[in-house]
Amino acid sequence: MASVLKVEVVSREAVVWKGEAKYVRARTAAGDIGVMAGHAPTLALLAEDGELVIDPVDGERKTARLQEGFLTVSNDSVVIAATSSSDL
Amino acid sequence: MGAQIRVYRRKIASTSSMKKIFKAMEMIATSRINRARRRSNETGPYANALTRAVSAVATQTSITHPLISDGSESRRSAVLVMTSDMGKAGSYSVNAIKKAEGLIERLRQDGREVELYIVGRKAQQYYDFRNRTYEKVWTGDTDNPHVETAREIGEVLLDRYSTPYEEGGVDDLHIVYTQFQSMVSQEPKILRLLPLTVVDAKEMGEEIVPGEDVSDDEFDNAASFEFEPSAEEVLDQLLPRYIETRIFSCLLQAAASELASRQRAMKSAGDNADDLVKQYTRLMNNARQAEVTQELSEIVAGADSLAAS
Repeated sequence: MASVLKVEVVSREAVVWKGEAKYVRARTAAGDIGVMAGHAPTLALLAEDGELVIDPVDGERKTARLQEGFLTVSNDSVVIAATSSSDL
Repeated sequence: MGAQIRVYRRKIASTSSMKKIFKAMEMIATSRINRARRRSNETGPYANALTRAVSAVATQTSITHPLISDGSESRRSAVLVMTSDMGKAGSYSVNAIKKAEGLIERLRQDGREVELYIVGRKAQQYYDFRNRTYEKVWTGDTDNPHVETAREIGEVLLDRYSTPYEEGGVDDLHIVYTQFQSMVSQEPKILRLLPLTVVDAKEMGEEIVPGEDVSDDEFDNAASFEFEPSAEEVLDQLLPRYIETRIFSCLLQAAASELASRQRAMKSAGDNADDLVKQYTRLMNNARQAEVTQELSEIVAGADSLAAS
């Protein structure tokens, strides 16, 4: 099992961030969801205006705010798409 | 100076000043095409992510959602035509309208009523002139479409679609737009937006961004997706976004096509102006030569008659 997540954060205008990460956390309508490698395939709606936290393999923890986003996890690849996002 | 020469000189002056305008419009169009194409490409990742997510829900869960369930019969259709606000783009708008007319004709023959929605002033003028009715029109930003326009169109059409037929709603929804294939080739296309045909994500992805790969491997174990909070709710939220994104990407393609057509039209107009200037210059030289010849023969004739007397 791979031990890193391939993460892609896209907004309507551009790819905001792309890289490998150990851990991703996002806010759904029901509460926070944390994703690590080996997570089951999931498709989750994110909160209207929620925080996204990424722990990259190298470097500092990154955070961003997302609007109307959703998160897809499958095969250790995480795609977070939102209509708009602040910079990571 | 002879009258003929003056006329030609005036024609040359006005043609070359028009040529400058054509040149400027060509240059503006050229610089904007790249921006339109870049925007079209930038929305690609988001559109692909949405497409993948929507088809993940739609293909796996057995839920019936009005937006995907294929209505067995269709009695009223909505057609959205995308044209330009401004002319001077060759046959761009005309081609899109022709394509739409063909579609409307076909739908009518199938016994459906057709509602018309319009983007761009050119199509509006076309239907106004022919006294044909349309439901709604959006103008003002065809060469540089905004997300807000796409959202508004999406909301209006989705609302029409959600209304049952008996209350005046539509059963399906088509978009006629011009696909940007290359700088020299743009083709009007028909896209059936609703009800969604659930196709393979790759296929759908390609439609949105030609040339962009949607990797299949991410989808292999898709059967076991978990939905949060629930499949229905995910679909409810994603579908309007998806439709709006599809409309937006069509608008962007149409904008790039419009600008490319305009650039080409303005280039040939500029070339024609060049030819005209050349032609007028020759005619002017002819006229001047004729005048000189005539003056000379008058002088010679005058001198002759003086010498003879």
